[in-house]
Amino acid sequence: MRNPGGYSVITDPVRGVKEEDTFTCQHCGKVVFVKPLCDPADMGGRCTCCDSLICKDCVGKGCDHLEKKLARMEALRSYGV
Amino acid sequence: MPLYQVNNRLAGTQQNLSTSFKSIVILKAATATLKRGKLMELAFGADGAPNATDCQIVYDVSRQTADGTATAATPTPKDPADVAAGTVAAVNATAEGTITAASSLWAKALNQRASQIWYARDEANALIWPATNLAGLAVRALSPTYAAPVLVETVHLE
Repeated sequence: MRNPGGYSVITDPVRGVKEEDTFTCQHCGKVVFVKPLCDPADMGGRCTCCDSLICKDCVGKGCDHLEKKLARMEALRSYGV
Repeated sequence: MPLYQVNNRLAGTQQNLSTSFKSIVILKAATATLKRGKLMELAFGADGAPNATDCQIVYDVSRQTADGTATAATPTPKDPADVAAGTVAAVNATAEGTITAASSLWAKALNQRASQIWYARDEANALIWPATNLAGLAVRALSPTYAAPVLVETVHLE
């Protein structure tokens, strides 16, 4: 893919080396492995609100950016949780 | 921003895998040095003789919110001139911490003879944990058949 967010190399003594591009869902933080030449709908989507790549599970669920989630987690610490 | 490396050969005794997840490397924030961490690089593979029966090893990275029982490990700065890490690392857990349900950020099943390395291109694509005490990421593994240790190496930025 153009501008991948990450890169993975799997080394298997039988099957050899397998390389894949990845990106990280900007809503849930999950790493998505992208099959070369796959249908873009199969790898997830793009959130039109925050303009970032998201995984299939986050498609159609509105925009809840990872930064907002992290801020909520950190806000709990002020309550001693 | 400095990079730090942790692997489960730094401290403690490597634990044999079982059919339930075992935390191999845990990276978490601590109250004294509270800051977010970003997992930029992850590498893992079997660290023992393969089982006679071919099988898979399942690797997973999930969010942890409370400690289990593991051996403390000191993250090694990639640049010796960098300050000590604020992130607290633990390896080779003997009792699992509290893992947030359905919080897996990474899941991969590999053949027992295979190994994998993953790099994030930039901080936006890293696996991030919040600046909350004891909150962090647990790199875990299980196998239905391979009952020996695995080696997990992480590189994080903070």
